[in-house]
Amino acid sequence: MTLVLRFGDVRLYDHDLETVAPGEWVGDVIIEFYYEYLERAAFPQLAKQVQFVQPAVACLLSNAPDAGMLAGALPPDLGSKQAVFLPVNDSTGLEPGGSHWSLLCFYKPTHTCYYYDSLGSSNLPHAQRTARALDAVLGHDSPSAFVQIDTPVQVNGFDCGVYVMVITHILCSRFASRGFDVADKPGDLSGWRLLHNVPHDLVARRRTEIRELILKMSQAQKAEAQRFADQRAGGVPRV
Amino acid sequence: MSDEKKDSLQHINIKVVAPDQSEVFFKIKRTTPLSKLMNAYCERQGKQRSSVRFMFDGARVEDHATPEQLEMEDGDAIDVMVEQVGGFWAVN
Repeated sequence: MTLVLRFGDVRLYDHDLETVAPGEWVGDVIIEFYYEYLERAAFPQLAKQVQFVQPAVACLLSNAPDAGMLAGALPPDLGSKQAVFLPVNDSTGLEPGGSHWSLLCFYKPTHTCYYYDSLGSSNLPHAQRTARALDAVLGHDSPSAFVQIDTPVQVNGFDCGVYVMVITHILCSRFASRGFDVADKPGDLSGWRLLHNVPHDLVARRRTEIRELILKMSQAQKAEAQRFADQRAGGVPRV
Repeated sequence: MSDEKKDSLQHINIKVVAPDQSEVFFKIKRTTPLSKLMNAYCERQGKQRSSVRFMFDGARVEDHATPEQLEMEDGDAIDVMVEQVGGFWAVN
């Protein structure tokens, strides 16, 4: 295993990078990387209000017999976030695997979980479990509402993970432009609907862009390490 | 210094905790790269190294890291998470 990139807490290996190659099933570390990228680089202004939960932690939540016990594994200020993104996978978390990614976004102002699935209701039971676990962790008196949002259906057998990343990005852009003060009228889903925003070719392109972003950051990191090594080798010996 | 005491300074007991809460214990030198422990765990559990993530204090453990560098203490736990992938849901 060769380390490709260090970014925040993310450690991305060559094996992980392969999962974002054309036609491959996307692995959790790619989504973890992209979430870190959204938080640190793309939308740093949202960091106080938005929580990007990494897939490994979302998986723990979804499969925990008693989610209330998991509070320690989650960020201590989770309850103060206006929006929480959780990637949902159908794996049990006990053995490596899984077959489908979908996305859950809890929005505090409406006390609602909005659910996006590029294959209809494929992951619905897992997402509902995740929503209930989040209620338990946040100590909600009443369970959050659960709303399925019409999501474009993927046209191939491998892009669901990319849909999760694209849709998260779209919602972040909306949060960044409209803020969190706008109160949705009950039942008004206009801020959450997608259909025309996610053409298939955008999803395909985004997969390539994310892969290139990782490679570019990796190269920059290697160059930096090399420069540092050169400096030390050629510099004045330290006393 | 007794041999036993020297040994306890150099070595450390680390437990590796699986998602089902099962634990495997390792004794390792404080200066030994943790790749040794991670490889041994995978071999023992029959798992591919690339499909398993080892987490300590919320961050993924790198191969070359040593218990000393990560400031691990005797009895500390490393959590194991397994890889998740997704492409589609096949309807048979």
